[in-house]
Amino acid sequence: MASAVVDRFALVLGHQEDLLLDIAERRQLVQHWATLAGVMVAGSSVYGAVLGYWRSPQMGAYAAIKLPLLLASTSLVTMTFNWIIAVALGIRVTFLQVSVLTTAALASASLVLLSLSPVALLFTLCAPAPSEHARATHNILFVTHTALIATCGLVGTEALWRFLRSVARSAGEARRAYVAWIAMFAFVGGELGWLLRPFVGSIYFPVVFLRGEALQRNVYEFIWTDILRPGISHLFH
Amino acid sequence: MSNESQIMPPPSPVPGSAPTGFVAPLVELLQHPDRLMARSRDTDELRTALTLFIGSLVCAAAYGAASGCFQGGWQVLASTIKAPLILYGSVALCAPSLFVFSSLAGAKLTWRRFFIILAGFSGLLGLLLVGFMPISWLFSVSSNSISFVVWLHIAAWCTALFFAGRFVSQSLSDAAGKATIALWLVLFLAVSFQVATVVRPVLWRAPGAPFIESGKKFFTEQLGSAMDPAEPNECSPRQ
Repeated sequence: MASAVVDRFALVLGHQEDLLLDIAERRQLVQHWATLAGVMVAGSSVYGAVLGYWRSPQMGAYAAIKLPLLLASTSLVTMTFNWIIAVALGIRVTFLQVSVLTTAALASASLVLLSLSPVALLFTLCAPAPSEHARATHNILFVTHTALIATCGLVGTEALWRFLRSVARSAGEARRAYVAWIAMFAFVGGELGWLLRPFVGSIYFPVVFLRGEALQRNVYEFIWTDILRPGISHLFH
Repeated sequence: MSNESQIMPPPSPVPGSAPTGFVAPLVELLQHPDRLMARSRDTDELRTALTLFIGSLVCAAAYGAASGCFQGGWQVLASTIKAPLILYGSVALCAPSLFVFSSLAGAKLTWRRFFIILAGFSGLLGLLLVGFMPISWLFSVSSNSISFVVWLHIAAWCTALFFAGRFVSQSLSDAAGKATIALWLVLFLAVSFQVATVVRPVLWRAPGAPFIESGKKFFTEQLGSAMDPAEPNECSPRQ
């Protein structure tokens, strides 16, 4: 059992070249996908638990479910686009290859998150307890976790880049596909993260799995109407 | 021939054989850090690694004792216990991220080799701290300003971390990339500051204060209160 878990993690960590070769040669794709999905869920679930723990253990349990859900749903929503854009750019890949590759990137990101979990837990346990006076703490934790997750996500895409470089006819072709994939992943991930909120847990609202108003407006509407437009108005008046 | 043998220094240990005893592995780590890693490819260096871990514990405790002289009395003992706690707490918390960062960056690590790298890292940190120990002791017994000694310890810690980080970088044979190690070192520095905040007070304890202060605090706040000129900065050590 333990060695099976180590093997799964080793596939992402130590044998990434073998994995990318298998994907390129379309070997054991379904098996790899299942392994990588398992690593992704395990890694992001532990980090999610730490992420929500500051607000309450219940929030930690919710975030342990929602973070893997966020990664999986973002990859699911973007997969078709990723495949089509790669093929349109002249890269010969199958849908299954793209799906395994996307999961590999997320598994890498989740492993980095898992390795940072002890550090995140230390800072969470040392943070002032959640109360109406702890707004600054909430904001610091929110920004730090968001930045960490985004950075780990980018680190994970290293696998995508290496694969694209190996199968694309030119570096330019690989770069265009890579940028398109990352941009779409960030765009969709931002909205799904907004929809699945809260993760850290606001000090002004009760702990819930999902907010009641989750589907009322999207994150980009919120950024425009609540942040950018008032800012622009303030600048010009 | 007999004259020559009197002039020539004793032959250096063969790189293939592990140094024995308690001090020799530490000296080798300081003088030839590459030898440990070179040997670890072929032989089991767990015994040397354990010696390095114990050595770093002793070194950190000695440095802690010197730092505790700022207040003197029981604080010498308290700092002797807390300094290794800070070192090992930080190493334990940051070890998983070093393994994952370097593996993802391309380093081929086995658990055994990783353990030896961690031992070398801890050992060098301890040795460098011992190098700073007399200086730390001198300023601890001759200064009343806590902000000054805090800066001194931060400078010593950062310098020790620089050399220990260089060992990690060289041990990973550049496969992991210098940027990856630099990033990890920044993480390690922040974590060590936070661990020091958790086990506070390390340098100066108010009369009747507990061995470890309760209450949650970020290290930035703790450092801020030690540096803030608005707060009482002059302690009354050695009373």
